[in-house]
Amino acid sequence: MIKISNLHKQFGSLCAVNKINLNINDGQITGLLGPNGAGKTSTLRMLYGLMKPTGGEILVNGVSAVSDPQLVQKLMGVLPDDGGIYERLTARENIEYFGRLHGLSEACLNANTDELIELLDMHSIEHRRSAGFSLGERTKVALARAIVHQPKHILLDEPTNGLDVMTTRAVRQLLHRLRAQGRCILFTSHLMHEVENLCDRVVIIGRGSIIADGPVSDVVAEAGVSTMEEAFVKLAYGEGVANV
Amino acid sequence: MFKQFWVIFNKEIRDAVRDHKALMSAFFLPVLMAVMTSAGVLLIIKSIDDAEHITLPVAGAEYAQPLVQWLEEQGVTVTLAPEDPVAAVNDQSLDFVLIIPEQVSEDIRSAEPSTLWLVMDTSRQDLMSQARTIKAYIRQWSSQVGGLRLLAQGISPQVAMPVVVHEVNVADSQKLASRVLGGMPLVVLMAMFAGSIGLAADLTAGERERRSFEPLLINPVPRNVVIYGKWATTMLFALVITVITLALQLLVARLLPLSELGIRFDLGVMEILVMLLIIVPVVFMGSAIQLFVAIFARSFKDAQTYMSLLVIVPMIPGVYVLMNPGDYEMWQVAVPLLGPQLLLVDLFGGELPSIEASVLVITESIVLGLFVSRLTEWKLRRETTIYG
Repeated sequence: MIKISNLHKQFGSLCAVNKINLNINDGQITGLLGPNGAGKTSTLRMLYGLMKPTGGEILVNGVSAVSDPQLVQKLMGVLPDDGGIYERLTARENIEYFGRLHGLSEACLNANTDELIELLDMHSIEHRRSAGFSLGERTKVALARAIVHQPKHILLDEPTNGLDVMTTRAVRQLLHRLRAQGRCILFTSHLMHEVENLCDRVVIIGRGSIIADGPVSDVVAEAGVSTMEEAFVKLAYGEGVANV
Repeated sequence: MFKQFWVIFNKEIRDAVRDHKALMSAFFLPVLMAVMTSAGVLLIIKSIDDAEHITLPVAGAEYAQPLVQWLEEQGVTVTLAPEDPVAAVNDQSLDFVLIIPEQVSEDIRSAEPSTLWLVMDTSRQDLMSQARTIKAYIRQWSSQVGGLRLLAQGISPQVAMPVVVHEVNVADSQKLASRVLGGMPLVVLMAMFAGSIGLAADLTAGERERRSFEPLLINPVPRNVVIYGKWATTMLFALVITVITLALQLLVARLLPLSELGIRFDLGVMEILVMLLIIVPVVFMGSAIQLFVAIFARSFKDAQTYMSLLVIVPMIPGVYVLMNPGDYEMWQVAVPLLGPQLLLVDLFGGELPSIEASVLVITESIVLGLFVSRLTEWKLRRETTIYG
């Protein structure tokens, strides 16, 4: 459970996130949508404690991400939007590095890594050095290392970006599985069909504020259109653009 | 916390060891440095040799055999003079020619004063010290012969020598050694700074360039632990390179014919231990400085530009040490990087530095290292470092 209250972030005169209030529930996949520059990434960065909010509070399982970011990081797994992996390490070593930093025991680390390699179908790259990996392979490694410690809360910034069909399906299955385990999942995406298929709930933000919030069907109905894409365009960019 | 430090240290070492190209160039450096010093010392030996060794073509050697023999005993190589000595000296194909006219043999036999001709070009300043030596040898022989003639007349030769000058050479061979070997500490410190540049840049600027700081710092790892892990990696690397460089320099000093310079190079275990005791804290500080400078760079390439300037830093006090050999004041010891070099020059010359000076240099390096690592930690806390 993540509780965001009055979250505010100011970069100079630019207001990136404007007093957002939002609860993200366990056992659900929540999609965070918004045009580029709407404040999605800034919000995520504040959630995982690498960016200090100008004001407001974030509670993850009751722990403040503002005053105690390290404790919150223990409860979280994060796939950042531009996660560099270490090119001279193999896929498995990359995953193990982060697992060890989370303090997993070797037995637990091995079991978790094996499972993720199986789930994401990474056997062919497991012992290969990451230099020269395709975008999809990199994303798989970054995703696996983000959740190797089996966190209760999972934040994913565009997890299916650039992935082929089979990999996208593997990631989707993984997310369903994590949801079934009762985890709290928040992800951002620009792919509307992805959002429609995966999310129990969508939150659309624009210019730092929440524009729409609810299950996909509700948001689509509220916008008075027939697809998620149309709803998004109409809500995020306004009536004029939607009719073009 | 220690466990996390260990995890980071292990990962960085593994990462660094796999970067074969960087590794090769880093370890090539000590070898290159050893070749450079050998060449330098051999050049000095050759130039001193050249200056001391005199070759003297003599025309008419047969007319004054005892003189020629005397010159050879003094270490002068006597060769045959060409047909036209003046022309040969004039076009600089020869430095000097001594001409002994036929008349001389007659004069010597009859104890008459005689004249020799030394053909030389007084505009060639570089030959003046050799010319002085030749003239001194001839004068010595002349006064010996004169003395014998006086004895033959029943007069003590000392009557003709109211004053005798004796030279006392105070140049201590160990002092000369430290002058010749004075460049070695500089070489060692430069190898330290240059050798671990690539690694320090990869660990900080490289991580920024690959944008991997963000995922790394999303893990619950305190920033100072991240810095300590990277610092320890750089330190280990720099230390290995520095120790190899030092060992090769000592080997070079041992193998080179330094005795030809009148230098006794004879380091004991104690001197080498004290050297390491001074070098380790310098490596500690140097690695911290490298990481601090490199973390300001956004890319590996930028970092290398900044860091190449950093290699010059130890050269400034190093050149000062070379220009001002001899004793030093305590305030000079207190100057970072200058102090260690002064003490190392002493040690290379076989002299143990004072306890106070050693303690000062060691604590100063450690305190500065810790301070600089705090600055690096501060820089890593800034959002612009992670996202910039």
